[in-house]
Amino acid sequence: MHAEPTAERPILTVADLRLVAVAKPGDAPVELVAGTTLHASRGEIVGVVGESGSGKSLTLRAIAGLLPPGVHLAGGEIDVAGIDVARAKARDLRRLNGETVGMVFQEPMSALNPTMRIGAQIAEAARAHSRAQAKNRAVDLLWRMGFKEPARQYRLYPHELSGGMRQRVMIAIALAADPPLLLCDEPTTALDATVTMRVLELLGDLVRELDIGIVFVTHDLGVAARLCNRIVVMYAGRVVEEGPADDVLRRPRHPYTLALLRAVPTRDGRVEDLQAIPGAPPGSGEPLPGCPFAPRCAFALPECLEPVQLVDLGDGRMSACRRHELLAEAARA
Amino acid sequence: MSIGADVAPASLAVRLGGRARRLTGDASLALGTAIVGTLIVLVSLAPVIAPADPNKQDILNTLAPPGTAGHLLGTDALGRDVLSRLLYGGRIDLFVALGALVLPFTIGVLVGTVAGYRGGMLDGVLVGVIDVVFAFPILILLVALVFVLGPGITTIVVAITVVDWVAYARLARTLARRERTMEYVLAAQVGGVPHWRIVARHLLPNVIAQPVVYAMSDAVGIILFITTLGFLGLGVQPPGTDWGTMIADAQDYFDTNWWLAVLPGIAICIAGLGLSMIADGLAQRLDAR
Repeated sequence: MHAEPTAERPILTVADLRLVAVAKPGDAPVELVAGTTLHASRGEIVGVVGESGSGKSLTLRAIAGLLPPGVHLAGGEIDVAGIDVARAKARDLRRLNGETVGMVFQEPMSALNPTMRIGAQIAEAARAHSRAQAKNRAVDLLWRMGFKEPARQYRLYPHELSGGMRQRVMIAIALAADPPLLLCDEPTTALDATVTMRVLELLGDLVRELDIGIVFVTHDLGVAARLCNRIVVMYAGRVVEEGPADDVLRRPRHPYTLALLRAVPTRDGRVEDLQAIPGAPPGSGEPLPGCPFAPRCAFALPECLEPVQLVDLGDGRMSACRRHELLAEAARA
Repeated sequence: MSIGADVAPASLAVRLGGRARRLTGDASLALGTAIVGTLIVLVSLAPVIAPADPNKQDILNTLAPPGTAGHLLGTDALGRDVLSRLLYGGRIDLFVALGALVLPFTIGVLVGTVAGYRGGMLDGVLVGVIDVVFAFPILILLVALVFVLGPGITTIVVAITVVDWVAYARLARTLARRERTMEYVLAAQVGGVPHWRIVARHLLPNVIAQPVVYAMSDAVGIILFITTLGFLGLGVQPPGTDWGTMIADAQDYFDTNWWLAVLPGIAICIAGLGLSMIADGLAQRLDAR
């Protein structure tokens, strides 16, 4: 399923993104995303993994221009297919949306309008087409998503569909206006394992056939390993590690990634081998001068409380850990 | 697997309970619709089925009790046929109530939904206006408005609209605020669907159910308002009549000819009961869904 990107054809560049929340006017802003850097190319699936509250979903919403009320962009660049999302006016952004990005949400029930037929919802998103064409486009998309009788199923309501089918409708809506970039916010979290597999296969096929890029946010490392070409690991609103999916998951170069992997059950592993990460993630707004993971890290040194940078390790890998070499040696041994 | 076995009986009981409630809901909806429907048919056909002109005075037969030949429900102090007056009066009450229901419903739901979706300044202003209108005792506000505008049918509709739209606006605003954070609204926003279209096709259909239920119970209140205004002499002006003015006219004869006040009272009760049953049935049906 790992379609290698044929060439670097960037479709998304996020540089030093900073998002802050202001509870009420006059309050000190709370930093939620602190300098995230992310890029994606056509033909590539980038996985963004991390715990709840790591800022991964918020980063995704910023790319779609959909920040929740009270959260503001405090700095950085977001470039989607040559459009400066960070600086574009809301009105222009809405016109461009749909044709630049499509978004798939976590909960396929609430992501579909319960009072509209699924076909009409897809056709509405294909608004660049005329009315009749939009309907044909919706039927085509349903067929593409694996609906066997799209002309009949066009008329179904969301409650008549299973969770997996709803998620396919959601993907069809996101792709209706032919965007080059698809943003997925935990799209398989609400699905069971076999259905998850089929949705992942579908996404893999779509990347190859439509030559789009996908940013796939998940907290499930297994899903990320199966689907993604590249993985970006986020912790406390920062990117801590990045690299080719297999490399990152086999030979993590950041203690947080290592800790996440040790907390995932494996087929041959014993339950006793599972290790919870001690402590809790820092709350938003806590000052974090140094490495945000240092207080929970088994490898931490006194100097880890000094500011750290994401450094290029070669071979497309990046780590924000001072002791990445130690981890590399440990993996070799 | 054992989890499924544990859960099954409980969910079965819940489902049976739900079904029983749905049946009583359906029965109440059907009965309510039948009552209100019958009333509407009767008053609509008033010119055909009324035994007499409601204003024709039968001087030889004043204050006749119900059952008198030619006057099934008797006559009032001027010898006017009570049944005919009930039919023609109900016509005014029910149709004015319809207007005084549709206007505030439409305005309130639209304004509330847009404000709840947009938020910000518009929403802040709306909440302020709602609180101010709610802070007034409604009947006093209504009477004041009728004095300012002068009595009459148009005034009744306008006055009720002015005080009543806020109830719908508040309801729709709350529902729209909940709905706008739903992911399908976000999805439409990502898809670049225009705001007006999001409101019209995504929010309104998902917001409308509760205001409709409320409108049915509100209709009872509106009929009471109209009849109250009629009773106070601020509503329908003579020679027109409605149930409220009939009760007002009957005040002097209450100890001797009680049916003159009680019959229009019963008519108001029947209309109110029918509408309440519709509201109840609708609420339970929506709940079950």
